[in-house]
Amino acid sequence: MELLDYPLDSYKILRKKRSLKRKLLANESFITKRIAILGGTSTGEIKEQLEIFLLNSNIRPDFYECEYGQFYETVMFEDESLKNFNPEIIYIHISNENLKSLNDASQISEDRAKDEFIKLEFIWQKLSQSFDCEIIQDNFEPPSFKNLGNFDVSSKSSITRTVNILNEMLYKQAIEKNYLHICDRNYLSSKLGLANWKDYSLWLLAKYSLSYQAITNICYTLNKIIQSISGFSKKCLVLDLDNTLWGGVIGDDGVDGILLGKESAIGEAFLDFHSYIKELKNRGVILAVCSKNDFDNAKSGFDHPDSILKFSDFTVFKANWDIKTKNIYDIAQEINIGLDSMVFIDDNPVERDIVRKEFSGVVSVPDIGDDITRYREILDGSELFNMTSLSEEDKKRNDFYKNDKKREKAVFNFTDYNDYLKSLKMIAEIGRFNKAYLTRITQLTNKTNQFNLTTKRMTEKDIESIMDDDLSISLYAKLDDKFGENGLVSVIQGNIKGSSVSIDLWLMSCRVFKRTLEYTIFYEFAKLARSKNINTIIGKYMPTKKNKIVSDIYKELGFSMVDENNGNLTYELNLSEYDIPKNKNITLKKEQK
Amino acid sequence: MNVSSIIEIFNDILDLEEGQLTPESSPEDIDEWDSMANVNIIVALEEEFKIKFKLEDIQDAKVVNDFINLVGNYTE
Repeated sequence: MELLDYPLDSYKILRKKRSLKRKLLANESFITKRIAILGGTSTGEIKEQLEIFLLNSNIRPDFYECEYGQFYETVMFEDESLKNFNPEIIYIHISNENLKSLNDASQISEDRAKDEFIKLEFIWQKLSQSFDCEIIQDNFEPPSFKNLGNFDVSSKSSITRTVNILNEMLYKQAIEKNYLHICDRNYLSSKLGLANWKDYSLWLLAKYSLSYQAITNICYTLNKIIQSISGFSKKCLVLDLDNTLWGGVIGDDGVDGILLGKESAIGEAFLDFHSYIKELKNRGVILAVCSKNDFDNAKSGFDHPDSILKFSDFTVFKANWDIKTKNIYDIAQEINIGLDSMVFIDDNPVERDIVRKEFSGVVSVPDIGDDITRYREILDGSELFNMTSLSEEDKKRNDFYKNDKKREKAVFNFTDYNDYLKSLKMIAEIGRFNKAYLTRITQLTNKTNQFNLTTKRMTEKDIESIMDDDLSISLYAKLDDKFGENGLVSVIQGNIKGSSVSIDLWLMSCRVFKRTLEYTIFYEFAKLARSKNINTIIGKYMPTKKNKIVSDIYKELGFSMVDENNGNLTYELNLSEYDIPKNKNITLKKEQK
Repeated sequence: MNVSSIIEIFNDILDLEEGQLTPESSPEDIDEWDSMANVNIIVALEEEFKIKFKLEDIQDAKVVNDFINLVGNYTE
């Protein structure tokens, strides 16, 4: 819904809040999340607005709110109702008003910050012990008043310094604790300006630590954090060319005529936009072009000597005269990602509108307008590529997809698919879960939607406990071939009960579909199970909108269906009389122990 | 100041059909008009008319008509 896109009109959202909710609830493809809001100040409005944003992202929240201001007590005294609620996400919404030591002028700032930090650390520890949850913690904005005036920022003992030190302590913890995410309220406050960030009458009347405008903005960011935690972040940026990546029309103006480079103010603005996009690419966002242009003309734009983006930066390059919706669909197919992972950038409002209508609520189409001085700000403020961690795989992703394209070309030379697979000279590394791959494995469980038998989402803590569990068989697979590495792309995990093992998690990145890796990892899994005297493997298939591709995998492997419940299928395989099919297309790097 | 635009704000915030609200309506008559909605109404009126109410004025406003008069006082 456009009203909920950045830049936000908080007044309009406030007015339409209730009717928006009604409309959004008509959608039926929600996932649900149990979210506890632990507030130090009022949280009612935050809950209502956050709900709208979440619904718009296909997440239907169940909320828990602690009693007014009781964030600390609720945790400290292990509130029964919170326990029963069993939150998946906990948002700790507190502000300077809750920092009791903040005004204690008898202490230096370091000590004041430490006092507050100890309380927060206690809360996180307690919550992470009691619940399998992710925690979102507000950081702190600068004080509205500085009783030392300008000196407040550098005085030994002041409020401003206390806040800054405390924030830094929070960030260190967020780096260490994977379950802890910071909601950067400090940044938002400077973006909106402190004068707009707070509304003193509202504080006196209703005990909100934020103005309504601020609430809308913080809810937008919270939604993005929650989307990211839930594996809903965007992966691919699709860009128009003329007047989007350079000024002018390449077909008319030619490479010498387009505006790009420091010679003109406009040209420099396009250059800055290039740099911003290049940085997105460097941290793992896939780039694609979708432009109504002659291919050679379009390509020549990147030969411009000042162009920061190069033709080779784009994984897919569609310059033709087809409608853009078709091209966007094709790009998604070629990269093998869902349309809901895509962001489309175009200066032309008509094109934006067509894409927005055709892929409503699926492809994100930020309203960047047609003024180059605003593109970067709007794309950045939209927070579409938000992430909660950055794995090594993220940084390499563009290479991975590049190699995919080489493989695709190679496949044309073979009439027999098996010959093609053999020619790839695939080598798999299969091993038990270990600490080094914790982030990547967690990320895979949260992002993978297609080859995913149970769509069970897991946190790093879940994965860690599996790792140490003797009654669990857990394997990961990495796959290399003659075109390069694919990284860690598949995971299988089963829980042992008596003489049977039940596969509760089995997934594979779409990057390596149709490479038969599933047979190799299953082979190793079955072999390992047999060595543990297991005679039955139980497999489950839980259908979602996206995982049809694996609906028959157990059948193919020789399992028989034993139960059907609401579309969920359970299969069994008698391991003692089973000849595990060995996959000859992939060699193993090292035999797992 | 425009009375119908004030009514419209009430209708939006309380998600009411047109005509459900009268100048004499109060939180007692309208289920949706709880304390949170009341704050929403105040903030929306301030935003719409670019005004800032004094605390004592807000506390006295009870029925729809009070708000209409109040906005009138601030926008005259």
